[in-house]
Amino acid sequence: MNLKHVGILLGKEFLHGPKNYIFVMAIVMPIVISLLFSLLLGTFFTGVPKLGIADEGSSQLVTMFKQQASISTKEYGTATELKQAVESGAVDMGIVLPDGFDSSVKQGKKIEITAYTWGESLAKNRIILGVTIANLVRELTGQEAPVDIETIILGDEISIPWSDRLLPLIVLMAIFLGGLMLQQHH
Amino acid sequence: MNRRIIGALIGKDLSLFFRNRFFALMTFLGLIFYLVFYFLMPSSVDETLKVGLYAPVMPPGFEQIWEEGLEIEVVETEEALKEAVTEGQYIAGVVFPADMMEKFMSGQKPKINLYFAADTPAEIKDAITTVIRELAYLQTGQALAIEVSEEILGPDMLGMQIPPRDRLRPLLAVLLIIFETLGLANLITEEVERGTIQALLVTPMSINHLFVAKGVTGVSLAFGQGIVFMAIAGGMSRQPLIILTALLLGGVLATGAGFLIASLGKDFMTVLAWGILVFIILAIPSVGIILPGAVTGWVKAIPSYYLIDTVYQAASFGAGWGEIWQNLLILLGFDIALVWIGIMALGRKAR
Repeated sequence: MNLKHVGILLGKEFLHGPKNYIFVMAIVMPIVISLLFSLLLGTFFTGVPKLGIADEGSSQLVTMFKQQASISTKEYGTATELKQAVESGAVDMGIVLPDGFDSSVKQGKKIEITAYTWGESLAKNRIILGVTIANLVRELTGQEAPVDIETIILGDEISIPWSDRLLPLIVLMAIFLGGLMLQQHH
Repeated sequence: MNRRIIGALIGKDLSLFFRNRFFALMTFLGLIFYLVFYFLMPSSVDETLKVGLYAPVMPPGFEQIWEEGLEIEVVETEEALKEAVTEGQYIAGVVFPADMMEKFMSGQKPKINLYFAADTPAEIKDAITTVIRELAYLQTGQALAIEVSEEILGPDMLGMQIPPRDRLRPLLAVLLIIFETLGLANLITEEVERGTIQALLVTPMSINHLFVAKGVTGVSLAFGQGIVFMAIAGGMSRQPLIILTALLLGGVLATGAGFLIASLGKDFMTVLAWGILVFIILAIPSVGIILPGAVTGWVKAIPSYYLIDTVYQAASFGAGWGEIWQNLLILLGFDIALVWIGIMALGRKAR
């Protein structure tokens, strides 16, 4: 086995591969197929709610938001950038935390904040974001939850969503199309 | 301009186009595939969190704190609730203890059980837990240190969300149009390759006749497919005239791009290589519809943005001439520029 020869052949494959449409298909098709499946299964448009924050001070809330699994948090430098992000749908909701927000709420001062909401945001996303903001502000002010919640999973075995079940098929197609590229060269 | 010559050339072009099995098949199969794909996609948007509740004693005023987006259905027994959650009828099942109010009164913490199906994603579990906890805060009358006022940016689509398939409908129509770029480019390249164009140019036919015929063929194929798709998928119900105008301009755009690709291509394979590149570039603005906010202002430099945005705004939101005339004007400008560049490049090659 001469590694130099293997290297030369490999270089040739990489050099000539991209000129072939099968190569393009091998790269593009798995992406297209996975996109089609997620669109057909309706999972593409159902991501976690996205919250945008413009922190004018240095609020602990930002870190607390980022630790939440139920939402995705993005930080913006200014309120204008945040508003633009909401308008474009990059985030479902955006809030501006004024300077000294944490100390004010801890002192029990009533603060008014505006939640900019994207018009196309789903009702469930709005409610999740709304209650998450409220919950974390309560946590920040030291309010104790009035209930204990116990989570119980029903069913003995973990069932796998269809989008995950189809993953091996997509991987298989990627390998198959990659193999076609190799065959085309020979 | 001799109409008879142009008519004969269009007839020849259409016949040659459908003689190529790949493009003939792709034209019909593509249309059928997009239509099947459209009708298989979800036709509605479920924007509520549907939760089942078993409460032996319903806390007073609890129904009044339910918010829009949260649908709570009361179930008669805990067993029925568990069964409904397992069957996927509810995203979660909530069980309030019988002594909940007494515990609240005595300052104790009642225990709430939350049932989830095994395949419920972690983020949904967290979200529902947060929702229930917040409902408990509200139930016990604990004040929040902030007052949140809501400002909606853009048209408020609450309760009338665009289903995923309708969101993608304009996009699929535009992709069909863009794909025709490849067919037209291949048609021209084949003629250059076989010397048909040079042979035609020694007849009374002028180069202008040739471009007009190719242009009409390209626009007809692209525009025709776009209309058929939109009509079958129900995309003509709102602002049909605007959509027709946009699709027509889209057809011209595809034709201009086809001329340009044909001037670069030498055979079927090079047409396909350049065509896929152009197809990908022209399809980029659609990412903005599939993933809102994913693309920034630079996407407006791509001509197809004005086509995709116009069809989307008109078909999904009923945007009128006053709102999208600028889009159409810019698209027309791009069309003229692209067709002119394509004709210049192709003319040089044909001569």
